[in-house]
Amino acid sequence: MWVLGLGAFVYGQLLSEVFIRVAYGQQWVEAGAGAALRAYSGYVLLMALNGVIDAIGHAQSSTDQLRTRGFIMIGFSWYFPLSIYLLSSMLLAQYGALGIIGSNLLSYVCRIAYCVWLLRSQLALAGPAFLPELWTALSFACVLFLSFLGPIVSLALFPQALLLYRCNRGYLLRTKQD
Amino acid sequence: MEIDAAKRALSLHFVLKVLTVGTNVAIARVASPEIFGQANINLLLLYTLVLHFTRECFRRVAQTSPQSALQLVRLTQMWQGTVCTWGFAPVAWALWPSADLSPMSTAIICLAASIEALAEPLYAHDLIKLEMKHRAIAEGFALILRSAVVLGTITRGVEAFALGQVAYAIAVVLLMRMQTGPLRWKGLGVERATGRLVGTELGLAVLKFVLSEGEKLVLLFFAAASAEQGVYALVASLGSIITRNLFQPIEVQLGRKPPTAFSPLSNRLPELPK
Repeated sequence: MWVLGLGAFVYGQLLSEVFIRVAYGQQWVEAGAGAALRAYSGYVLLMALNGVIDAIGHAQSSTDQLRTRGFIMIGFSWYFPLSIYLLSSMLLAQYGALGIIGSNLLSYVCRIAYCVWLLRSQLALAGPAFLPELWTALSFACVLFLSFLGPIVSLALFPQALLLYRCNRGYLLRTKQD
Repeated sequence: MEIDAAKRALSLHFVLKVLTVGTNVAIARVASPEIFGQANINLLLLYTLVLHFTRECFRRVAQTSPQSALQLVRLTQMWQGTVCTWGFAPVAWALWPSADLSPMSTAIICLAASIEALAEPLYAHDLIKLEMKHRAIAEGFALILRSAVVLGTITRGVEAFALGQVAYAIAVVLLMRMQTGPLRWKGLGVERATGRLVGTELGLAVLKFVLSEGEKLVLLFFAAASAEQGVYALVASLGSIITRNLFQPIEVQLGRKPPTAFSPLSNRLPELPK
């Protein structure tokens, strides 16, 4: 699942603006849809991480732990809209759609931190040993490498996409300077 | 039979999602971000609000009714939900706090929601019969019709989207009625038990509405610029292709795995006493 999330994140960072320009047109790039999609791809990655860690934690929990977890998740259900409400009131005026995506990102960072903490306590792992074990596995390194290699190969095969991207960024910079 | 129905439901969901994104691309290419934002955040939120309580309260009550073996009773409860929607739609129209939309476009969207409420008993009937084909045909055709109407009347701005939604609702109701046939119902007398269940479900429905539509509510009530609403609607619809079609099924499956499936993490579990 997080392979998909990682793929979405890497390709999203590279190709969001080109995709928006090709699929929806220049007016949407000027409105900031490319930047918003780039930020949203980070949100997709966090959702993937949260989904996996949450599911593992759920499967590892005993009946009592599941009950406690259920209560805490009800709390999170209230925390989630509240955080959007509070953060968006500050961020929305300044950053628009990016503000609401940013507040979602922060919410998910909190959820993941909670799930990791819970999983660590469930597995009785001491100190910082847990994170390296989960995230520096050989398979993860391979996936990361392939995820970054994929866009580079695709851009080498389809250089017009990179050209479009650069033209587009140049156009936007010129517009801002004007 | 149930597994086949579930497979058909998943296929239907996927096909409709692809169709929705495809038609959205066509519309977004001709509509400005401002119009797209007002239609997809503001107008659609009102539409969802009008239909939400029928779907959440009456559909759930119909499913959990003690007399659920009697299809007639379940359908009667769905008809009661439709009538409640007709009562709620004018109230929602009158109280909707939006200066961006014209009263005409909000009135048209409430009319569209009231028309689509007629399809709820027909959907329930198909669910009882585990029949998914009718809904796939009706919604697929209605989506294409809605896009055609929006594209044809796009010069009218947000009203074009409201008119498109009316066309969608009429098409869904007519096609579902043609395929399902006439439905029997018992009248509108509300039993006390049903009333109590609806009251209980109402609180949950409000909570679910805030949770599921929270972002739209924030965008609306913090008066984000219409173009920003459009950008968010567009990006969220693109992102939901991955999250709903890929992540959600995997997450459901992962949650069902036994602890031993998560090797090497499971090796760390303390040994059980012998």
